This record gives sequence, C-alpha cells and structure tokens, in this order.
Amino acid sequence: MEEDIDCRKINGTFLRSHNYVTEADIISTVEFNHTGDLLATGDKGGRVVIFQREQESKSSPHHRGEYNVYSTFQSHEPEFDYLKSLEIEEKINKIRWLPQQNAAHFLLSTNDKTIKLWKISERDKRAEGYNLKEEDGRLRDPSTVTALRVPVLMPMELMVEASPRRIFSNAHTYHINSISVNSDAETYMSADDLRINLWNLEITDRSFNIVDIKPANMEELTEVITAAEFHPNHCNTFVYSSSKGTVRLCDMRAAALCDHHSKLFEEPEDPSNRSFFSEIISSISDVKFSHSGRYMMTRDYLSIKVWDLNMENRPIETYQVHEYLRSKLCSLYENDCIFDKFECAWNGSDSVIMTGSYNNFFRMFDRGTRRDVTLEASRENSKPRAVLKPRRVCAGGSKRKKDEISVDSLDFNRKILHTAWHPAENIIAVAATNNLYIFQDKIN
Amino acid sequence: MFGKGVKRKHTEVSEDDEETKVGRSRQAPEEDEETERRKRTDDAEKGIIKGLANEEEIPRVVVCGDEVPYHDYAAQRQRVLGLSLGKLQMCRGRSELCLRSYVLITGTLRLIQEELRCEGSQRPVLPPWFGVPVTAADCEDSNRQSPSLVNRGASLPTAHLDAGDGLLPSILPETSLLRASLSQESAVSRLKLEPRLLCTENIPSSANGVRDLRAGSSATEDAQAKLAEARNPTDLLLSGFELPDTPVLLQDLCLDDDFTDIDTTMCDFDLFAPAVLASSRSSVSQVASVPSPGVPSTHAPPPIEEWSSRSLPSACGSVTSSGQQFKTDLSELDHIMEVLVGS
Repeated sequence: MEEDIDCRKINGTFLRSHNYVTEADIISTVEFNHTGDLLATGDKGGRVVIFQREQESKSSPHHRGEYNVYSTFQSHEPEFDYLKSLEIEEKINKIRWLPQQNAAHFLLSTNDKTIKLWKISERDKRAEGYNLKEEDGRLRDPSTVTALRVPVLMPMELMVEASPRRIFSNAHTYHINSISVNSDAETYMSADDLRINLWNLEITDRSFNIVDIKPANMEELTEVITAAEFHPNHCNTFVYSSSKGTVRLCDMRAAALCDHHSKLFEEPEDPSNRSFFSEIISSISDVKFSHSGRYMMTRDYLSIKVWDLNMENRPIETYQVHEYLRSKLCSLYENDCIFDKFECAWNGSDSVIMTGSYNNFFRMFDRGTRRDVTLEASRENSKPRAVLKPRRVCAGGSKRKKDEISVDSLDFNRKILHTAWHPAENIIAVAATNNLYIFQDKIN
Repeated sequence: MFGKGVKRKHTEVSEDDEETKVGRSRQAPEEDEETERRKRTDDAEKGIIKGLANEEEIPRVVVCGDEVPYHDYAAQRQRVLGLSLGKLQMCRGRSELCLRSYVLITGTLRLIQEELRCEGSQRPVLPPWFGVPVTAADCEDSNRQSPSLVNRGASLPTAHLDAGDGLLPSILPETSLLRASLSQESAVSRLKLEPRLLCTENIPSSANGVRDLRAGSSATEDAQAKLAEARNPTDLLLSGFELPDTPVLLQDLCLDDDFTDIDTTMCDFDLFAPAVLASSRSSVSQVASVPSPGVPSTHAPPPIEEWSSRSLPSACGSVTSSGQQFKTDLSELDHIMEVLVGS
C-alpha cells in the first residue's frame, strides 16, 4: 500500500490534558459497522461513542468523509455481585454491529458479565397539530374542539436515540472476552474464559452452551479461551483460540456440544526460541477471519500468523510485530506488559493486516508485496492532514541510525491494543489509550 | 489487569537485563571468552600447560537462540520464580482474578518446577544437618518457598539460596515447619479452585478467621498466618513442589507448652477457637488442627458449661471481676498463712 496517509484526529470528548488520563476514558474497543459509515468505540467507563462519517459534499471537498460524534450513551453501569462480593466492571470489552435491516442500527456491547443489544435510531420529524394536545403538551379540553385536523410531520433537529432492546445476562460465570454475530443474523455467541454460549437475538432468558473447557477439577486448569469468532459466511462454523497458542475450528452441525474440534490449528514450537515465557507469548490474544472466509489471522505476543483454513499444521505466513522485545521478556513479565492483549485487523480486500504495538506504534503488513511499515499515533508527531512518517525501532546492540528509536526508549505505557479497518476503504481507526486516531488514505 | 506493578520504562529495566545476561546484547564478554579459549589452545600447542579455563567447565544453556552460562540461566529462573509467586500472591489479594493471567503464571511456574525436578533427579545433595536424604530439588524448593511465604512480615531471611549455600542451615528449620504444615494441610484438605474461592470471599474470611485466633503464641500465629497466606492457588503449587515422601518434621513439637500461662478465657472465640483449645489441651501441634477454609467447619463454639467448669466467674465476664476474684483468693490465702504461721 502507499505510504502517503492523510491523517486527522478526532477531538472532543476524548481529549484530556497531556499528563492526566482519566481511567474511565480509556478506549477498550473500536469497531466499524458493515458499511463503514459508523464507528463505535467503548471505553472503560462503560460508555459507547458512535461516530458517523460525513457525507461528501461538493461545497467542502476537504472535509470528505470526516467522522463526527453521532451518539453517546452509557451502555453499562458498574454492578456488584452480592453473592460473590465482587464488583463487576463496566468496561466495554467488545462491540459488534448487526447487519443493518432497516433505518435503525443495532449493536451488541458487552462487559465482563452482561451483553446488551442497543438500537440506535434517528428522529428528525415531529408530529404537529394534534387535536387533543396543545403544542406544549397540555391537554385540550375536548369540548373546545370545534374542528378536526390531521397531524402533520414537520422536520426537527436531528435526534439520535439509543435504547437497550435486549439484555442478556446471568449466563457467564467467568469474564466475557468475545462476542460474535453469526452470518444468519439470528444468533450470536459470547465467549468467556472457559465457556462459549450461543444466543438467539430475540431470546434473553436462555442460551445454549456450545463449548465448555472447564475441567472437573479446577486445580487441573491449564488453558483458557481467549477469543472466538463465527465464520463470515458459514453459519455453522466458528473458531476459538486458547492461551496455549492453539485455535480450534468447530462445526455446530456435528454435535450440540462442540468440545471436540473439527480442526486444530497449532504450530510446533521453535526449539531455538525456547524460554520460560514461551507459553505466555504463544497465548493468542485475537483471532479474525478474513473477509473472504478462506483465511484467518491470529495474534500472539510477538507475531501475527495467517492461516489457511485448509492447513492445520502451520500458518502460511508469519509476521514479526516487535521481535526486538524477545530479549526483554523477563522485564515485560515483571511489569505485566507480557499479558497485554493486542488485536489485529484485515483490510477490506484481505491484502493488508494491521496490529498495534508499544510507544503508540502500529504496524501494517502488506501480504502481497511483503512490505511492512511502522507508524506512530501521537499528537506531537502529526498535525491534521500531515503525512505520517514511518518509524523504525533498532534492536539493542546494533548502532542506532538517525531517526531510529532504541528499544530502551520505548514507552510501554503507551500501547495500541485496539485497531479497526474500514470494510471497504483505506480508513483505519486506532485507539491510543484515551485518544482515538482516524487515518485515511489520501487519494488525489 | 491485576498487579499495579510499576510499569517502568526500559531505561530502568535494561540494567536488570544486563544482570540476567540473556539475549543477544551479551556478545562482547562471550567474545572475550572465545579469544581467551583460542589463546589457551595456542598455548597448549606450544607446550605450555595451564589450568583448565573456568568457562570451559561452566555448562551453557540455549535460551532464545543464545548460549548463556548456566548460572545466569539459574539466576533468571530464580527471578522468574520469585516474580511468579509474587504475582500470584498479589492476584489473591485483589477482589477479581484474571483467569488468563493466572493460568499463564501457573504454567510458567510448572515449567520451572519441572526443570528443577529434572535437575534434582540428576544431582542429589545430602546436607549433613538434615539427617534425612533430601535432593537438591527439595533444598531449592524449600528455599524458594521461604522468600514468598516470608514476605508477609515474618522474620525469616529472604536471601536467594542455592543448594549448598551457607545460609541453608538457618533457613531449614522454619521452612521445614512450613513444609510440614503445608504437607499436613494438603493431606487434610485440598483447596478447590472454584472461581469464587479464587476470587475472594473465602480467602479474606479464612485469613481473618485464622488471625482472629488468640492462641497467644506469636510463633504459631505467624505459622498460621503463613498458612492463611499459602491457602490459596499458590498453596496448591507450593504443595506441588513437595515430593510425596517428604518427611514430616517437628510433628511432635509442642509449642503450646510454652504458652499455657497466657489467659485466653476472655478472648473472642470463633469457629477455629475450639480446635485450638482442644489442641492446647491435648498437646498436639496447633498447626495441624486448623481446618481449611474450603471445608465447612464442624466445630461449634465451646459450650458455656465448659467455661464454668473451670472455677472462673460464670459470667464470662469482664477482666476486672476475675481480677477481683483472684485478689480475694490471694487475700484468703494470706489470711490462712498467717493463721498457720501464727504471726
């Protein structure tokens, strides 16, 4: 892909002063809808903010396709589980859009325990001329009504309303890490550390358990589920990844309980890279099907692997995201950074993949040309409409060139865990702690 | 995320990396060793015989594609072990447990444990003061237990120890006591790793329950506090460090004999107290008789009759009334003595 990228930042509710970051404003998930016109973000405070892309207008060509705030609502509130004396965080773990079927938009948002279906609808007309009601709402005395009239719809200022239509709760003992809408648009699944449940979007008081890896004796627990996703085209197929670096593909037609996988994707460990942290860094933090449904991508701590669904024993491509961290694993273990869960994203044509790293860097890999680029999302280094400059990190030991950053200077508090790519165009959304960056490809 | 461990920038952290010496940055010293080795070979060819170079004797291990000296590898392993145990303890202290992190940390611990076991089976060590055949793994394991269990304020040294270290004798008795209690503990009941237990409510309550014991002995309180600390997911792993045929030391030790003069009658008894009272009377180690939090206690608070049978004021009353009774008795005794002596 071309390196010229037009960048623009979203200001507004996410801006805070430099040194102080409100915990509640930390963005925890980013997701485009199926057309790319809407971009939803969830944060640690349980809020969902939806951005809408402005329609192109001939009068202001420079403002082509900017994203502005469309709707903000509080999705989840902090709760308290009295039975276990546990606080349930309101942090939004995942947002998934439903395919649009009418004028309204629907999305699923989830925290650790509860999934909610939200309807986002617009109201831009108001009925005026009621017979029994005055304009200010006061009731009219029926005896004063002398003539009847038909109410007329008058335009009003656009109002975007978000209302919770379904609440799916009490189905997960452990923390929900993923939700995925089925291609049949009727069901969806939610995955926690040990179980995956299948829901019908209309039914909130019942769900089916389709995967259960909880051992009979919890002392023997060695593996948890880290991510799960439905196949984009085959409504019977889904995958789930584990903390041991394996991905299992399951077919719901085979059995009601899909404990036995149809395919197991696992790459044998490289013995030359063995260390105490081999298992930890092999833990898969995200799994995503390609849009075509032919491939899937897994993200572990140091690399991204692209798998062909027809080949289980090894990936077809492996990309090193930040190999220079391999010698620093002990320190990263000490400061808990080794447990960070990075997400990954495909572009619309499945030719480029993207993921985040530390120091507000994010990486893009072109699968066709095998070129990769490291870019930085920061206010200091990019003004609106400036072109992003590729960054380089030099591993310790070799001489540092000009404009390179040494591994020791990386800021491990500034990390990009959540990224999203527009389904059709070269527009990406990058969440850097409490800031949201949107980058567009400049096309003249 | 658990563990608000300080996220340090790598400028601070790189010094640690130099200490552990794992990774590609350690090129220069190894090159020096290489040139020295070549020099020695040259000298040998010239007929000059020198002592064997140390670095030829040092076993080297491959980690992440680099060969590092074994003692560096062992040092890093020790560090990772300490970190892992520390994280698990921090995990337990928080209200919520991230299961994924827990599984990853315990996996790392298991890996280290397996390595230590393998090494232990290869190099048996017999410390003379022990009196019982013990492998290096046991020594290392018990030593490694002590840093983690000690962090709670007990006065045991927290030095990193290798087998054969001079500090070993002073550490061993305490760690033996702890290991004895742990092994008895694991024999008595296995903590069920249900999520609610992992997450909370039993652990603080059991810890409080144990700490509420006013058995009077600071040493036993420390041991029990350590048990409470250890009675968590870490405990299972620590008990996993022990070999099944671990000799149970200090079982006959009656710590209660030293503390019989302490008046515990006015103390607040809870579920665990009756066990303590019973044990103090039967001179069985208190440590063995404390039930685990996972097992519902079958002990009831001691009946009132038991208290009244011990010539104390029947109202388990205030200290002043018992004090007054005591003074009355003393004055009567004095009076009797005066009469007898005739003074």
